[in-house]
Amino acid sequence: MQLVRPSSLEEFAALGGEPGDQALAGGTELVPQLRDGLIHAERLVQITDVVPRGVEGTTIGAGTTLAELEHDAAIPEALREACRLAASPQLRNMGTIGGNLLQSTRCWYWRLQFPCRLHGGDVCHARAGQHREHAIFANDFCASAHPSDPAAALLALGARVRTDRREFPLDVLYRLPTADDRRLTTLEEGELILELEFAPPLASVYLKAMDRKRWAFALVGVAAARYEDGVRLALAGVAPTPWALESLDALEAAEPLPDNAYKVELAQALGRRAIASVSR
Amino acid sequence: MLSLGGGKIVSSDGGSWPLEEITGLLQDGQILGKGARGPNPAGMRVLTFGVQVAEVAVDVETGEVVVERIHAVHDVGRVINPLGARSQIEGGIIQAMGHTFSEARLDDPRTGSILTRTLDAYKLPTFADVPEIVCELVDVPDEHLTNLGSKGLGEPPIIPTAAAIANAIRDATGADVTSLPITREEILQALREARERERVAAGTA
Repeated sequence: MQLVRPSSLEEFAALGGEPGDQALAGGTELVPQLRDGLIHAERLVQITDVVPRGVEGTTIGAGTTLAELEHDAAIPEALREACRLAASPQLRNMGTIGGNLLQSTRCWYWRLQFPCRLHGGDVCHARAGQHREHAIFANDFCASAHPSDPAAALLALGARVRTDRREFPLDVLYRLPTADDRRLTTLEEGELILELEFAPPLASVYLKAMDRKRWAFALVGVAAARYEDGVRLALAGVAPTPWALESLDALEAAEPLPDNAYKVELAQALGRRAIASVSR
Repeated sequence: MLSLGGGKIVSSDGGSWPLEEITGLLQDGQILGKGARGPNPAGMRVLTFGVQVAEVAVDVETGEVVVERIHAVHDVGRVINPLGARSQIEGGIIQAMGHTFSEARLDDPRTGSILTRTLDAYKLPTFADVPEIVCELVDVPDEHLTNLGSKGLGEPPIIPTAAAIANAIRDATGADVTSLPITREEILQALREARERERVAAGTA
C-alpha cells in the first residue's frame, strides 16, 4: 500500500483520483476498517494538508478534530457536547469532523461481514437477529443505525456542507440504501468535504443515552437547537442516517423492531428534556 | 537471630535498626524469602463472608442507573496485605459493574456466531462507571483454620455486587430486575411492570 501526502488542494487535484484511493485524515475509522478488510486501498491519500482545519466564525474546517470543537467556546453547545460525549479523548484528538460525518455503522453484522444488504446481499441479518442497538426509523431494507453524534448536532444546527465540487445542506449528504444503490452517502468518487457552515442558534443542547457512562455509541442521541422560528431536532442512533425530527410527535411514526422499542421511549424522554433545556 | 517488629529489625542481642535504613543499604539487591502455611483443617470447610450495600440513583424516564457508592465489608480472617486486599475488593466491584450493566455476549440466533467480538461492542466498564467504593476488612484471624488464620479473597468481592445494585434499584423504584446485564430496556420494562403492579394493587384495595 502506498501513502501520498499532497500539500495543497491543487496538489490533491493534480494527483488524479484512482479507483484504489482512500482519503486518510485522523484514521480512527479508516485504519480499523483497513485492518478488518472492510475497506481495501491501494493508495492512501493523506488529506491533512488539503482540508482546512480550525473554526472561523460559523465555518468549521473539515479537518478540525473533535477535541478542538469540544473545547471551542465559539461552537454551539449541541456540537460541543456531541463531540465531548463521542468516543474517548485519544480518538477525539485524532478524529476529524469530516471523517466523523462519514463513519460507517456499528452494526455487528456489517462489521463482521455477514452478506447483508449494505454488503450487497439480499437480507438484513439484524432484523431477524440481534438488533437492540439498531434503527427504529427507515429500517425496512437495512436496520443499521448511524453512529455519529456530531452529525445529529450539525443537522439540528442547519449545517451546510462545502466540498471541493459543490455546496449543499447536510441532509443531502446522506441517503437511505436501496436495492439498486447500497450507499449511505451521496459523495461522488474522490469528492472531499472541505468545510461545514452552521446557523448560530439562540440555544442548543445534545443529550445521549449509552450503555455505559463514556466511550460508547449512542443508543439514542438527541440534538435540539432553538431559532427565532422554532426548535430543530435531530437524532443519532435511530436510523441508517442521522435523523431530523419535525417534532416529538413524529416519534409515533417510529417502527421499532421487537428488541429496540425502548429507543422510542428514550427518544421521547431525551427529546422532552432537550426541548425544555433550549426553551429556558 | 533477627526479628521484625514496629518497623525495626531487632537482634536477639539487643540491637535494633529502622527497616528503611537496612533496606537502603541493599541498593539493587533483593531479599527473597520463602514460607508456607499449614494445611486446611480436616473435616471443616473454609468459608468466607462479606456484605455489600449499594446506593443508586435511577432515572425513571431513561432507565439510566448511577451507582453512587458501594460499601463492602469482607471477612477473610487475618489480613496479611491490607493494600492488596483493598485493591482486590475494588477490582472485584469494578469488574462486577461490567457484568451488572454493560457486558453482554450476544450471538446471532441463526448462525450461532458471536456478534460482540470487539471492545466497542462488548462493553467493559470505564473509569466513569466506577462508583465510590468504601471497603472495610474485618481482620479477625479465623482460629479454626490454618496457622495463619487467613482465608481467600479472590472471588468474594465480585459475587454480591450485582445483587446489591438490583436490590437498591428495587428499593428506590419498585422495579424488579432479575437478569443481567441491567440494560436500559431491562430497567424501563421492569419500571413498567412495577407501575402495573401498583395500579392493580391500588385497584383491588
